[in-house]
Amino acid sequence: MNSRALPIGRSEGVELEFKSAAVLNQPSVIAKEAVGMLNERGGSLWIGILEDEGIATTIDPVEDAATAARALRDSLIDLIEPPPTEDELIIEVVDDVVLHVALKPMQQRRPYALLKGGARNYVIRVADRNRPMTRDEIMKHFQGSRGDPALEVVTQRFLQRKNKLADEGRERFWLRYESQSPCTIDRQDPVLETYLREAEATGNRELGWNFVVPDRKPVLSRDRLSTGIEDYREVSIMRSGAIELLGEMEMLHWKGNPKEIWALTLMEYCASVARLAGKVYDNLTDLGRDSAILVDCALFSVSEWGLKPGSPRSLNYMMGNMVHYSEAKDLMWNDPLSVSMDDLVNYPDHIAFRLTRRVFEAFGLREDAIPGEYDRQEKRINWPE
Amino acid sequence: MNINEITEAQNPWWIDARIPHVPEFRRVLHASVFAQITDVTDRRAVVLRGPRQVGKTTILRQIIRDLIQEGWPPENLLYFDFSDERITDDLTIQEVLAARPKKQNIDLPNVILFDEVGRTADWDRWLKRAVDQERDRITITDSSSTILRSGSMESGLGRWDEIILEGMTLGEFLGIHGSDGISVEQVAERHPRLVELYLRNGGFPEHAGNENTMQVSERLRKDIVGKAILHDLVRYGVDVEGAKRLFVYLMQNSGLILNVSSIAKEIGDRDRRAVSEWINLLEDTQLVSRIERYSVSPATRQKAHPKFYASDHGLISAFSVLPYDEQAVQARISEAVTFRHLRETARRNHAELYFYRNYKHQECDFVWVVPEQTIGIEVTASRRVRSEKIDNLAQIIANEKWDHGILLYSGLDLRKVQGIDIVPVRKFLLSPQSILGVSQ
Repeated sequence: MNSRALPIGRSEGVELEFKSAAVLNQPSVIAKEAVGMLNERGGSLWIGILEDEGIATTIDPVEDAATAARALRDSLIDLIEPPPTEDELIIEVVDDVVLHVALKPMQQRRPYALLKGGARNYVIRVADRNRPMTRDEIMKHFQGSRGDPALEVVTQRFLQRKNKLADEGRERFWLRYESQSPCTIDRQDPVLETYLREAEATGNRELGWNFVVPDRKPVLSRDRLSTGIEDYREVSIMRSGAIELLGEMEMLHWKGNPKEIWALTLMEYCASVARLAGKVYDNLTDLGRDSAILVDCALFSVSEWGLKPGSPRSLNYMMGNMVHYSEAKDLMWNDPLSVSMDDLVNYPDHIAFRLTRRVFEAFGLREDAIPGEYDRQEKRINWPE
Repeated sequence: MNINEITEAQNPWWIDARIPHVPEFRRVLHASVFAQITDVTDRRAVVLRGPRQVGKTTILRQIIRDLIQEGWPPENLLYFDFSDERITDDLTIQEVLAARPKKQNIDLPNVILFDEVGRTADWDRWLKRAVDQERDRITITDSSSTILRSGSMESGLGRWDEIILEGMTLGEFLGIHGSDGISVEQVAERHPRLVELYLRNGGFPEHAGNENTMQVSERLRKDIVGKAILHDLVRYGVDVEGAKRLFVYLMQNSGLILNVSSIAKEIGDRDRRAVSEWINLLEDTQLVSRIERYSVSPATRQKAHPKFYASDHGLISAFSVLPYDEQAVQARISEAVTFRHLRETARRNHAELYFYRNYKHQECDFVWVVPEQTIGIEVTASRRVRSEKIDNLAQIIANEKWDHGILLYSGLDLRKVQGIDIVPVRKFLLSPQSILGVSQ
């Protein structure tokens, strides 16, 4: 509990915003306010305070505020790019029932963006509201920041790979992990064959949706070790340190309508490769737990494919309509997500969740449409027996 | 009971040519039944038999839909289910036939589809006459095996063909999930979970793909015990509770060599004669499958105790008190599912199937006998093959002068050791004919 004074009677402004407790159900709304402030000079966001004509009037208690604070931090880290650090984002519980979100931007990390619908949204706080940033404002912010050359190199490599696959024009799903700092992997280490042939060796389900092909010996080539099923999917562990899964979109289909992406399949494929990457980087490289790992996925020629909201095990799923991604032929993002090695090793399902959320948002589905099999508190996917 | 009302309710297409709503998925045998019905040059009827819930009624209803869609006059189609709960009195086939529409297309034959026909007393005499008159195309079904056989053994010769329908094979099940240009082997490789679902849930079409395996087990227990045992056996005036207890015992001990005395004791000191009678009745439901012991002498063969298996491996998971993952349960499932696929292949290739046990208590799970060769088949649920298993099978094959040995296991690699083919059981289930070296 914090003894910070509640802002009852104060007015909203460029550095102050009040929100009711109910807004916690819409983390992207909070993220947008936070991004607006981060792109200005920072400020305070109070959650659990009702306002009248912009003036804080009464407390609207947040239930189990400590848990809500933790969940909000996770959401904001996922929804804001670059993910705010502990210095940039401080969330306190005040009087047990109100959340105070302090936002302290770092000049060199600007501009901040809200990740939504597969795109980056740059907004800036003006008085007591947000507006989209102009092209000039975004450029000015970028020029003010100091880009990381290593990050830039890897990001460019991801981009080139995506563009190449997009040019091939096939319906395919792609997923790639690579460390931001260079590393090499010994492709002949015998443990890699175990990882690629035994699901349990990487903590995956034997019968789950994953990259494992038990009855085939992985193929060693000059730059990689690969395994897969012809015309279906292939996973490669590259000497250069990248780990890539590439397959037909068909691999994301399990049941339902033709060309329906089965959300659980998508999520588990992402999780399975995250587990593999965690094992490989942790056991076969000298990357430290604080190393940054970049991860990205893309769905190529995806326009005929659809996604349904909710868990396939729910009644709502049966009633729900399939939605499509209609903004472009290929669904891909400019920049990969950045995750820490520690998260990759300890919370691989959470990384799968973040990738899934990217896809869902691009399809115009809200975060709560992601199957409830992902437990946000525990940061893992729970599979029914 | 108004027979006209029941018949009309079962034949809604008489009123407005309404096409019945039926599942799209077709059993492999659907094509053979349909071809025989529509072959007007063949006077023979089709007798379709198999346990409850394997899709006999669905095949009949799909045939009705197909015929209506092809323009067959709906008034020439008669379907009747003799197990309809609304039937309260004894009913004759003549009464059902009399309920047909008066106006029919006389240029085309009637298609008569009678479901669970064993419920009516005079069906075999009627069928004999009807086939001899060569006027109608007839298909009948029943989930009781001995009733149908006892009535039809002699008079059926040359008059009808018997088609046995069991739960789905693995290939049939994976075929549901395949698409053009994708083989069932490819489906199995891409979706190993489907194979696992099949092994766990069994081949009953209604349940095979259900991922809620607990629910499947519960439904199978309810449906099988409730309908096939309580409902069907109560007609014979037997102690249904005792028969039910025996059934559960046989499911939990699938693959057991039957010794009536010891079973009678195991299920609560029951009378041996009663247990023998229940075994016959349970066999009649086609939910358990008998296999005789191999012997070159038919007399010895008859005297030896047979083995009984769950006819569908899904029944083993459903009635097991042990968890599915237990090695003992896996072993029973592996044997039962192998036996199910062997039966189907044996029927198509006119092969005989036995189990083997000699005076030294050496055993081999199955013996496949065709005029050209005899093959010993051993099944293990283990992922690694113990050398003793191979030695034992090789010794039996040498002693008995059989041609060949196959050891099915849960591992992944196909190889040959001491002349024995070591084959992954999943590979065998997908293509038993190629492993056994037969044509179909």
